[in-house]
Amino acid sequence: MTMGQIIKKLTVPLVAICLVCSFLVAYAHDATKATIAKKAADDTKAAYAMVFPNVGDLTKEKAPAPSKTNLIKDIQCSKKDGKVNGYIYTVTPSGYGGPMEVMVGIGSDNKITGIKVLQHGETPGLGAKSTEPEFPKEFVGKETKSEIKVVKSGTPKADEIKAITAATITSRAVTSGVNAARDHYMKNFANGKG
Amino acid sequence: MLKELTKGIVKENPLFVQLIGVCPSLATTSSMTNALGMGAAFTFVLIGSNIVIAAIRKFVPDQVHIPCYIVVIASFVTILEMIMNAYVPALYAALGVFVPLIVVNCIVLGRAEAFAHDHGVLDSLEDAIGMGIGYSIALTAISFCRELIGSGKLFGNVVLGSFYTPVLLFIMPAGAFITMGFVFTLVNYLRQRGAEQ
Repeated sequence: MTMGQIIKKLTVPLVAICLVCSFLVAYAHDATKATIAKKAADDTKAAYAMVFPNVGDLTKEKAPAPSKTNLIKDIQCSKKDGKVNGYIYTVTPSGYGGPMEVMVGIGSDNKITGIKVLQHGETPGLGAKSTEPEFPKEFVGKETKSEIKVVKSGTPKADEIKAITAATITSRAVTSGVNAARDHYMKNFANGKG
Repeated sequence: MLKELTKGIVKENPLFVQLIGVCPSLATTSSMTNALGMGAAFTFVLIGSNIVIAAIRKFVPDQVHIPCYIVVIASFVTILEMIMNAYVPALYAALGVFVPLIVVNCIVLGRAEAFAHDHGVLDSLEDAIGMGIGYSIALTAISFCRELIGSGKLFGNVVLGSFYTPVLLFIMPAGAFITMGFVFTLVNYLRQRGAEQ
């Protein structure tokens, strides 16, 4: 085949197929963009209500500048009847299967109101259990004044969390995220500092 | 007439007999819910890609058919992912992580190469449905053993009570290989015995 024949016989059909496919993908992206964005916003709202049941009007607080050691991605301040009643943190600790995203609710009474794993790449059946109700429930009601620790066995004390069986790294990752939020809260907002 | 459909279920089952698509099977058979989800999403993509490839097969030059097929399959999966995300969020939440995996599932490209490449649209549709069912059955069978032994549950519900200590190995990747070995042996033993009689 000469160069001209190659272009005519191979390049043209290949380019045509690629063009048609990219057009279809672009069209589908455009058609679904608004719905997906709305759904993501609704999901975030539902997550806020889940980690902080008493959620009021939310205003964004300034999060620390992104760096390697900073796990905090987003801070929302909740106000009900003009009074601050808590904060919602979004933190990004590193799990066993890469970065995770965890939402942490902290009430003005210095207690954790709830946590939720939003995104993760943990092993199904092991680390992925952190998304099931049992594990997040352990954090509810924990005091923010002291660091939360992870124990592997036995009955956890007031400031301890029992690790998910065979998923200690995941349990520690989630706890490190919660601790980052807790730490920031104690330094900046606790006792009416906010 | 339904020969093309039934062959994928037992005689040419993609996982049990052809031993293709093993890699995603390791990841998605840790629970029955995941396995069925993967089976459903996979069947859907295979039907779409087989139909499209059978329809354009005369237009695609032989020397560049693989890139053409990959573009078609990848576009199909991407569009499916966006549509699912937008309109069936519940299904997307359950299957979301598996959908992109389908692009690299070699059964899809395998069927395009081995079947849709030189068969008509209708035959390719039958082939895709059959292979999809066959793959789903295979995934379900493996995940049944793994979830039951590995966590004492089926579809996330506890079936083996507190007397049973789950063998965690079975929901880890190594357990997938072990389970597959035994299931493949059993299926092929039964097939051979059936063939001899």
